[in-house]
Amino acid sequence: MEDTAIVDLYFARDEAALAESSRKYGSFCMAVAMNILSVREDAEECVNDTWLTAWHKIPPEKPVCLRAFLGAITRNLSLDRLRTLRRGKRGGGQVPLVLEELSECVSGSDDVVDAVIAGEMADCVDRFLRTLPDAERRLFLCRYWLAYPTAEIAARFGMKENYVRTVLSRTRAKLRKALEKEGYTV
Amino acid sequence: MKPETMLDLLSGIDLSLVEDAADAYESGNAGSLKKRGPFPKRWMNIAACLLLAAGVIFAARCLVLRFGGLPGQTVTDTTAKEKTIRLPGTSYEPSEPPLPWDGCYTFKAYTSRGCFAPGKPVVIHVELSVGGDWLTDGELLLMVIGASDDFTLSCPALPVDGDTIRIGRPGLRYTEKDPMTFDIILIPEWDDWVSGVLSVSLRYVPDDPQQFIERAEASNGMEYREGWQEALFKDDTLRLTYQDLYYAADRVETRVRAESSAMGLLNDMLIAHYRSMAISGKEFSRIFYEEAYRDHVCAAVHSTMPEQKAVRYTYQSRNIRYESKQYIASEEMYALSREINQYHAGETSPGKGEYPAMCRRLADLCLADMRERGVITEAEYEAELAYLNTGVDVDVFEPGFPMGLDGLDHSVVQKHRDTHGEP
Repeated sequence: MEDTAIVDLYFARDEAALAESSRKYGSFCMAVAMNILSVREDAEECVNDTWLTAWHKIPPEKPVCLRAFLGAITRNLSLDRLRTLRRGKRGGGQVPLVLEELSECVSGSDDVVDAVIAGEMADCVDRFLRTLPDAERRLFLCRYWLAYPTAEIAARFGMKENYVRTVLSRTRAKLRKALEKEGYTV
Repeated sequence: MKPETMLDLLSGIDLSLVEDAADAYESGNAGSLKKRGPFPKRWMNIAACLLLAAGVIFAARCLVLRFGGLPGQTVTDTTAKEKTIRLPGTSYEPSEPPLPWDGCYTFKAYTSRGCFAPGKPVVIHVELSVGGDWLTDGELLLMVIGASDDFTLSCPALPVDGDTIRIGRPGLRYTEKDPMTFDIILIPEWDDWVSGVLSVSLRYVPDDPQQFIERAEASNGMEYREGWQEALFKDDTLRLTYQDLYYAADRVETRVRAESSAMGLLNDMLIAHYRSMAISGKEFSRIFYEEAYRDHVCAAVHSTMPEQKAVRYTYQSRNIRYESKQYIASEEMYALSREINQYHAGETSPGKGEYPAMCRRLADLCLADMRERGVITEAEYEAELAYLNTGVDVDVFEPGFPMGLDGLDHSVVQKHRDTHGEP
């Protein structure tokens, strides 16, 4: 079923929307959740919560990219769950590694970023990503948004893992420079 | 900022980017790592190919100039300060057996100096005059290396047959006042420009060689000797190198003044080109000593002073090059120097065979002086004497003749520059 038809089902408050979403994007959302949490039961719970959250958000929202929209919900839910789990010293999947890598392009200081600043910085990151060559941007998002392991990314794209790591490292450095150029203290 | 904050920030980016990344991951195609430039990739490729092709052509041209060309091409070595031109070699078929009077005068042009361009006519003006009664009936053959199929010969007053000019019609002589002149107009082709060399050769072939020899001997009393031709024309080619001959395809005047033997013709041509700045003094010396006269002994007596009976001489052979300071000479040296200078000035006319003997005697005296002054050792003296006794040609040049050491007549160069400017 086309994404627009699924969204229409949501708007029609037809529960078939949940079944169609799950059928079409269940594995994608599961992959995102597993990348972050690494525990199947936790991931399944987050994916189930994804359908419920989507049911509440659509309408009023009308996503253009349904897969990314659902993935974003899964990602946020997974990250929230991860924080809860980490307080109990459990789980983590790829996230600890991702965080370690991202620490290269941020200072690591315990600052408070309010919602407004966070929005502006997200725009800045968005602009930065659009300046990158296609492949570089895709590698970056596969790693830091979808949280795929570098080995998997390399295998999927037919690259060497070292090469992927190098590209990611350069992109992180560029991101830091871009943020600093925009006046953000990272 | 903490890494977790950055992770959260990424949640706020445009989801279409995420969608794109997810699509790419699914398809296994990451796309290009090259940033898209302002020009289409295809045009960039074409531009790169053109640049590469230009580079290859340039490199090939450099190689042709540096290491040699195709068979039959005349080649220049652009890396040398003074251009060295290899013999035309296969550019024409030499007479069999080689004739002593059969000279091949080669003119060169260099594209690197902007001297000619494909399709742009180059005019070479040739002026041939005969001082004595030396030039006999014969043919002047014109050979062109490069642009060989596309040249014209402008010679309205003379009978011309293709690339051959007949000289010596009954009652017609070519003197300095009334020289034989003609123009060679060449249209260089692309290949010539690539090879960087455009070459014209003039070759004189008398109808009656024996008559030529007799006239040559009679004209100045010089003896024709077998050794000359072997040394001077052993490749059946008279080697001349012209640097700065063409000035951006301007008309070039080449005065050929032939008045004595084949040897004299070479001398006169060299001097004429040196004085007209067709060749530089340095180039002159190089040609003269390293190519034309490398197997000859030359001596020159400079500025004899009657009051003090002082002389200054230059001795030049393949083994020794020495220029003396002014010194009070022996009676014999002084008398001989005066005698030779008087002959050069046209005041006397020695009998047949006398002049070469005077030259040899002068060489002997120069050698003895060098030995006395410790310029050469006894062994070197003996070796040089043995060399002279092999029958090598000895000649003496008039005062002011550029001898390649310090004897260059710089005033001539300066005068030319004052008149015509730097080439």
